[in-house]
Amino acid sequence: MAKRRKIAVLFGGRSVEHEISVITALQLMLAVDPALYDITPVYIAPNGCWYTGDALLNRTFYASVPGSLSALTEVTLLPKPGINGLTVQATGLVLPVDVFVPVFHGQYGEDGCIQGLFELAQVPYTGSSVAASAITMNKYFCKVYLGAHGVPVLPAALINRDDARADIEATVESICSRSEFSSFPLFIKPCNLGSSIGVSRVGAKHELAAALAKVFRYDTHALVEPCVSEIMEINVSVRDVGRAQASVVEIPVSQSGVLSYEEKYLRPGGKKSGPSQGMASLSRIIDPPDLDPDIRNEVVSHAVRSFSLLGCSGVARLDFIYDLAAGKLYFNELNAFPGSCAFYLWARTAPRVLYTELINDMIETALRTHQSFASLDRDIGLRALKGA
Amino acid sequence: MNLTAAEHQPESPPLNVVRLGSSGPTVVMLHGWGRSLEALRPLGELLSSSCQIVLVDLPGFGSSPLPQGASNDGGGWSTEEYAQRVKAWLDTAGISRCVLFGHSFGGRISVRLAARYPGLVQGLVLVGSHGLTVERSFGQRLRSRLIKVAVSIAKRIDGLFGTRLFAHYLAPRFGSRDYNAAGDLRKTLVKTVNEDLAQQAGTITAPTLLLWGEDDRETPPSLARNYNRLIAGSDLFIFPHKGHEPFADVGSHLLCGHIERFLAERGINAP
Repeated sequence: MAKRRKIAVLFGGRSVEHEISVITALQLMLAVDPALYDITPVYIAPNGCWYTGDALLNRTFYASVPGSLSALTEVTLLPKPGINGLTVQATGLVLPVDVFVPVFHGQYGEDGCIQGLFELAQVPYTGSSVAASAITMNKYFCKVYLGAHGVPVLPAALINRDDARADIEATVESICSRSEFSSFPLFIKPCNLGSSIGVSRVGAKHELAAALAKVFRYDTHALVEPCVSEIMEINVSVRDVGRAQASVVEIPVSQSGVLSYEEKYLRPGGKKSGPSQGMASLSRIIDPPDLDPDIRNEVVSHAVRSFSLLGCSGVARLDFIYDLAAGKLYFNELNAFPGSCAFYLWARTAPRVLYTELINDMIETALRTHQSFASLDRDIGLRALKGA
Repeated sequence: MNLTAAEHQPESPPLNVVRLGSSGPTVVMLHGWGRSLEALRPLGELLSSSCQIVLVDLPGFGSSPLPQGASNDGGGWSTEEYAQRVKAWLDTAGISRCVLFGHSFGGRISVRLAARYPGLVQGLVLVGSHGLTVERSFGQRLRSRLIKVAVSIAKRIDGLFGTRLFAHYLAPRFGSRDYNAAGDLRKTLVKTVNEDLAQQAGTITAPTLLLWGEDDRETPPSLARNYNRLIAGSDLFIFPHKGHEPFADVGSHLLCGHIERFLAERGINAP
């Protein structure tokens, strides 16, 4: 057997999507091929400290956090090239790591922050780069960027929390004065969060202030979008295998019209049905046979192009909105690291891709990307200083 | 005594099977005790892109009716009868070459078939399979001995005085979960649970893959290592942090990859 690569799977983090990250990571680690990879689980607790230990592989461990953390080893990643591993805080011992696998949803993990640390430490990591992660995490920037490249997007307004708090009435008036937001309902959502946290469907002007206040509990910026009344959501995953490759599409099924956090993560988790498997347990129609092939092709085409334009890597999921009344398709958002890694879509794609293969390919792509960057010349000496 | 399917044909109520896939080698998947083909369906669905899958509800499980002989009144079946029932179905379905996948109880049946019909079995995949004696500690052996003595005494008292000491006191306390849930299959369970198929395993010539969970408490990895020693040329892989059903949830993706690689490396194609 060839030597197994050491991978560090990082999850948790300082995000409101902390527990979704734990669910996705536990599932991902069960699909990693132990014949190829040796896993070091790394849990970033809500307080920002990093821990490792085999207990992290057990789902029941998290019910006792933070008390159970004392049984773990605190580690860190120092931003110094050449260490190539995690440093144990207490002893300075280095735990070697060949590839870092960030499994985060939301802030500090999916938005370029931790990717920046990987870049500073000069270690291979899976998924999108700093810039791609940062742009895709910010729904407004992402829409503006893709819209400028001809990808259809719904109009959007960005509301700053400080401006809203200074004068909420003026903020509400400025939203309503824009022609694209003149009729209700509207969607108010956090600019930098996923998992439907903080999202409201506002039916009248007087509800706007409360919806904005809800967003500002979690984010400093809110996004205002018109609500498509006759809506069909269509999602597709795209991954980087040297080129952008698309999965089959899915139509998520919502009972309330908008997929809530509860529908995505809590609904199947009752005692009778077992623990939630995150996005993999959501009600959905995968590869709907009666979907118009033209719509399907348009979704795939925009998804592959958007993924490439943004410079994404790893596995992403792109969500689209189809306006059934107008017959128009709009890009909605891109998840640089989607729940359940969207493996349920790849399992139904032809040729089929196993979750295990998705992970293998992400890791091997990360190594190739790292080697490619390592070949860049970053040292031109101190000619200006020495010359002076 | 060696019996052929024709000579020893247990009564044959229909078997419920589900077929998936249209090309590649035929893989017949036999589930564990107390389960049904649904337990293996996610793995079968993944494998169906490269194999022709036959998921079987074993007699008395899932939607396959309980044969009279396998019931408590009929005296129960051994895995020999189960093996013959599966073989008879394969003959009826025109399947003359296949890969057998057996989990737990289904593994016992697969071992019997692979040993008896080398021409039928192109490959064998055993996952957390029963069929060999589990090495037990002194404490476990002592406990077992004491329970046997207590059962013997309780049954005598029940016989003499018409009491129900065994059914009401001993079985619920000391019987296994499977034993207490076996219902009309209890005699079959008792017949099969202590079968030692070491001799049969030693004669298997089919390419064999052994997949086990490191944390399997029902069929500990020591069983896998014994099978590995007994079945010449068998491949063994033990998955860390997995239990008796390593194919559960996303484990189906992991096992699917290992099985497909095994079939490809051993050149097992459609017959």
